Amino acid sequence: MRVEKRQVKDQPLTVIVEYPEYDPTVDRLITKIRNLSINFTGKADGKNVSIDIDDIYYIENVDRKIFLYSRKDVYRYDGSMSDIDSAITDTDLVRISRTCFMNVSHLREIMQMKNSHLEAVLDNEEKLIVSRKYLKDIKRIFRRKLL
Amino acid sequence: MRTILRNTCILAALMILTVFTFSIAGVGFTEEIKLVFQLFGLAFILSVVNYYFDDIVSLPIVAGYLVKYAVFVGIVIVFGFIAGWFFPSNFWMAFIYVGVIAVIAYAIDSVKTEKEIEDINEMVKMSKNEKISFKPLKQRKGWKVLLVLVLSLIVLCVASLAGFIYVLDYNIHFRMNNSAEAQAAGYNKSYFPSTKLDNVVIDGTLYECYDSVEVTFAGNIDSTHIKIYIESGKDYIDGTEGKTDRLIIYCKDAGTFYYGDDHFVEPYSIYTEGKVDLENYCLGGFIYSGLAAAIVVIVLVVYFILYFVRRKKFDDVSAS
Repeated sequence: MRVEKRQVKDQPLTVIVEYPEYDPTVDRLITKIRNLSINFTGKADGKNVSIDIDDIYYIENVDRKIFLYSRKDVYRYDGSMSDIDSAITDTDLVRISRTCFMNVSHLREIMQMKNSHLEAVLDNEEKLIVSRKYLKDIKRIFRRKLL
Repeated sequence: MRTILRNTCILAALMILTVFTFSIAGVGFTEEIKLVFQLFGLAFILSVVNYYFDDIVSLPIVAGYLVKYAVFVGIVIVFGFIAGWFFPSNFWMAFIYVGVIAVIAYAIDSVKTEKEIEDINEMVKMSKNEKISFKPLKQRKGWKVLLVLVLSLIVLCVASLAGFIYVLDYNIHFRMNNSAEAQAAGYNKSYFPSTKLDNVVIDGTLYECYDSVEVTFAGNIDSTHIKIYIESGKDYIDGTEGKTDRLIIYCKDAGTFYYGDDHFVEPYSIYTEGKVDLENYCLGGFIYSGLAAAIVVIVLVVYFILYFVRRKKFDDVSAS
């Protein structure tokens, strides 16, 4: 793959992908580039902070308030769960229960607990309850990632 | 394989619907056709409830299935009463029907969930370029769940059979005692099983009419259906407890009144068999738990076959 870059003044940042044939590698590259432009605006200490989607570990709805969780920090998000649902298409974020989205790129493993609950363990040791209904969505994202 | 099985079920359902839809034009809306469409209707309602249940409720697999079992039994009972499937005496069958389906669905679901978790964990490792290890049987939960289910169903099946044998034995002794008492009083005939029909008037006399079975010995043991008539108002020991079928009639011939298969008798006592409901429950429990156990055993065998096939494939890939 050849990488070229050039400065074009007074124009927005533009990425042009040239390919001989459209294949899964190209698709993955385009998805990654698109994901770079997806940010969520959260609030912390009264200030608005832009958080890159890759930095988000999970998003949770607690008492109708939505929180974005990064590795160490928590941000309040003003949008709705359906806003997130529509924004995360083709990203690594996936719904894992009625009230939670998880970033699969930070997933370490899924475990079945003795009480038969399913638990997702993230890289930062956070544990999230996963509904069985969404397992196939998680698999779908990994299949796409591993293409 | 899963896709083939699913497509087979969908195709079979479409074939049944098409054939029966054409049959309506030919033979009208018969009871059988009505039942097929009612079953499809019930399946649709249960599928809708199941979809929204999974969407709204987030419970562990066992608790989820227990709640679903209670909800679905309720729906089947209400639907069954509206559709006229159940009489007040046999609505409990819904518990068994739904129970068998719930046990099988749980067994399949728990194995499927375990496999999905395993696939995801493998893919997590692959995405991080970590070494993938094959989980041994000892660490797997699916087959243990299936084994517990099989053992529980076998225990239930054996207990039901033991109950059935006990009730059968009880009834044999019950019959022998009553028969001995009737014979001692000079009544040497017994008819079983008998079902009470409407009263009839013959030659101006009112008779209680029973449909019964007579065992004959003409070279081979054989039986024929006969009608028994007891003159209305005759005294006899009434042990029917309000039941009208599976009755045992102890009697003797009444004079010379015979018309073909019609027998006029002098009754001594009429009994219902003891613990008939319990016998039905035990027999039902034996059949259904046996059936469920057989299906779960098949699932368990398929589980082991798939495990060894996947393990071999994994070993081959690792070796290469």
